[in-house]
Amino acid sequence: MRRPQPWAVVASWSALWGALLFAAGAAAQPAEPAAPAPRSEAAAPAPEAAPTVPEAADPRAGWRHEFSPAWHMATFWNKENSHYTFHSLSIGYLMSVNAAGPFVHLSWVIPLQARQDGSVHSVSSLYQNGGGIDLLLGWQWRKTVTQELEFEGGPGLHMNALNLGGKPGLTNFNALQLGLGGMTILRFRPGWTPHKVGWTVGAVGALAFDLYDPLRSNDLRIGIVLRIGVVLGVDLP
Amino acid sequence: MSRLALGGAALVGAGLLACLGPYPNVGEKLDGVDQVNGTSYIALDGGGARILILAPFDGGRTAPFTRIDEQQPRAVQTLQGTYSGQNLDVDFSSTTLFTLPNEASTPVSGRSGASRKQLSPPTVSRVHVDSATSEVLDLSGSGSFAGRYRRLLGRTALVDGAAPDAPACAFHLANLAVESSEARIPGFNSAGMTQYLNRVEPFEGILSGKVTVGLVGLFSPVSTITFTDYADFEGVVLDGVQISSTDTSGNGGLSGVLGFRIQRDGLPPLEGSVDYGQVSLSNGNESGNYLVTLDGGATVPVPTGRRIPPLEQCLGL
Repeated sequence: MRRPQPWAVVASWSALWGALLFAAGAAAQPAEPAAPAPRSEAAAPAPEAAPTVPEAADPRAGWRHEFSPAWHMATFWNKENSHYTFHSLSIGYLMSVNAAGPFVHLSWVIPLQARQDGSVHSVSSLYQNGGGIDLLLGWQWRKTVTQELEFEGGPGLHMNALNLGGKPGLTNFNALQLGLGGMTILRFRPGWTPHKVGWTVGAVGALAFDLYDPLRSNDLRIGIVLRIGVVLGVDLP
Repeated sequence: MSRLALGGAALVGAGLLACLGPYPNVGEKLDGVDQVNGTSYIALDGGGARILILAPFDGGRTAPFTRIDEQQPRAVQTLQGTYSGQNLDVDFSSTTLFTLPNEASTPVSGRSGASRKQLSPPTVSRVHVDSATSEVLDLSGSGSFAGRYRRLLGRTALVDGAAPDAPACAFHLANLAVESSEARIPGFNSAGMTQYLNRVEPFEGILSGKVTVGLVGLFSPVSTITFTDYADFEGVVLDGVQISSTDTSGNGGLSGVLGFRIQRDGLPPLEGSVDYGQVSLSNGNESGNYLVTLDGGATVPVPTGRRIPPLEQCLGL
């Protein structure tokens, strides 16, 4: 089978970014004003008609911008069946739009512990600098569980990039793993909205399966990335 | 710019442009060579050179060995491990394999470059000693070790410094050591060289000395390889610098001057140097001439590519 070319992967990601940003813009547009109710044949308003009550805004609408510290685990197997696991701290920015719309989870990953085939190493003992980026980009749907509890979930495309610079005499370790994933967020929205800005707290979980690494001659057999953390954020109208 | 940012840029750049080969082990050492101090033998077959270094048993039942296969154009495979024998049967137990594949027709961005693999369990190859004298060692059996070997120092003594072919022959011998060293530098001849960005890493010679590798510039990479009293096998010692300056596609050129010393049994060594200033790189492949000076004589251009004259002729095989 012909191996996907790196430029094709980049083009696909770029196209997806564009589509999602366009969708985000469209989703963020204010709703069209409701069409006026058909008038009765008698044109004259009835003097006893009730005053118009504005329709309640959808509590699921609007932008969510959240900060998310989390535990990040990337475990994967290479073609020779060697098993690697990296446990990391991740600091993420999470964004989503409206009851149904795009989402982005972008995290800076700080690896703390590296394991391979049963041996366990502190990252700082082997590598003198390092970090990674975890990106989950997709489409989400929101549901209200109670008036103050909101559930959000959806699938997306996933990228997990890792670069560890070896200490003198040791090799670098890097990876660029691509795959599919999904996320869920359960957020508590107490309704406190100073300056029309709502505050939220909650929890996030994301799981991804990576199947392709263009950086490593696709030595990747399969990778699993799990991220579990808290979210602290704001709801913009 | 911090190393972290450079590392990130290298990762993104390499991810967009290149592959770096299979995943390394966590905390893997860059230099994985075992020093083997012993007698060096050479066998030649159809332009390919096979060098076998056998350490003495020193009272034990096993001893370390190194076997270096060099094919043309540049392709090197080096095995290291231990050997043991009973009567005329010898078992070579290989534990480490260094490979520099021939990727001349592959774009630099798609090359896997030099790599090292631990053989676990060790690969055992059995050979039979058909004959053994102080100068000749005939081995049959496993294709990885079979050959009619001659003691290398005895063969280099046949290189006559006054002969017209001497500069080219001396260069070809020195270049065996250069190419042998390249197979042990992980990522050599590929985008994997980005791991040496803004760092200088040493690698020991199999026999003695060291070679250091460093890289500056991610998008116009300049790699500097410095040999210091470097020897992988008997007969050739390297001292000097080889610099490559290219773009990310491997187009550019070489520079630097590498000194070499060809040791010979019962004769003073031949000393010379190779100036890389007239060697161009196109897609990572060399063209042009090496400018070789031997024993203070005239500078002679030696073309890149296949060895002319062949080593068989130089070493009287």
